[in-house]
Amino acid sequence: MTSRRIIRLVAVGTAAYILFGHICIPMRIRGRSMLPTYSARGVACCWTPAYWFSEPQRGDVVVIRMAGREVMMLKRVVAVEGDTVAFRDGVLYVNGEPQKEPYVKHRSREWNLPARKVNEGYIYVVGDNRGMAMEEHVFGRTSEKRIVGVPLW
Amino acid sequence: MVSCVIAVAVAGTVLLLSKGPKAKIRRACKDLASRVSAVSEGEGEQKRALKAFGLRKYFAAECELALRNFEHNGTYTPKEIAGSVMRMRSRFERVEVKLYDLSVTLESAQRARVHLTARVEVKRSGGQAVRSEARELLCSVQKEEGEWKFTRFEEVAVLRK
Repeated sequence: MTSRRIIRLVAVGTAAYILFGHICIPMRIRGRSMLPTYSARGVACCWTPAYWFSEPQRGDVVVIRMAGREVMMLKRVVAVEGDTVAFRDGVLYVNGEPQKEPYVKHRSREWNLPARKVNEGYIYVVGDNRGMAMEEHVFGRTSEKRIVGVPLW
Repeated sequence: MVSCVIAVAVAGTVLLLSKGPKAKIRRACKDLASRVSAVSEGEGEQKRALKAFGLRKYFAAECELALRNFEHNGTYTPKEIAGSVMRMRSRFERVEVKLYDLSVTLESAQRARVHLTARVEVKRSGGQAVRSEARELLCSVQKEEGEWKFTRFEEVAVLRK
């Protein structure tokens, strides 16, 4: 193996590591909390530069890390810092106003949650599948620091 | 020449990583997950019982569980934990615990904390998934008689309703 070939291999390896390990992270989707926007099983890529120069907005779908980046959650931002969030009969209220959520196709009227404020540096995220029981659905406020990026598709 | 350098570097890294306390704690975590899991189809009752019995060595005399939405939180002895795991495994065909993103912080020569994500998948006979969830955990471990033992499992709230 010539030294040129080794250099080329190392360069390709490094580029692939940076691209797929830090910028466009491939992920396997498991779980039904984002139905029907994302199917219970599928693949996507997490685009990490999405919030390098901007802040997450209401309606964005974001990827949230747990202890690290091997297991992450896909959720939709419904409120940002300073907002007040509540659920009444399955309808989402942000700052006291009912929200039109065209991406929500399954809705249970059992979803009721008293109003709560989103603290500074936090966002409030919920999955699109509101047809499942509220107790089973993992959602809530989380630190903006946990956002890794957005799904590319 | 290049392959020699690579071989020496790999050997040095493996040697370095396999000796330290962090490596031992990581191995204890992985072993614990493997012992709690029951994934092989032909795993008989005897083998399951032996695996569960071996769990005792991973826990201190008292181990505390502090998880969210979990009805069995409290302080348990290693014997109680092994018994609970055995009962749980007998109810399901497949129990799989996988650990991700393990990071070990040594607080002293005798104490450490492990931050990780645990994914648990439980299936009944027929392959129907009963539960599949991931939780972020902070585990406390302490060294007793040369072995690292778990003293506490606490769940980190990633999302708060």
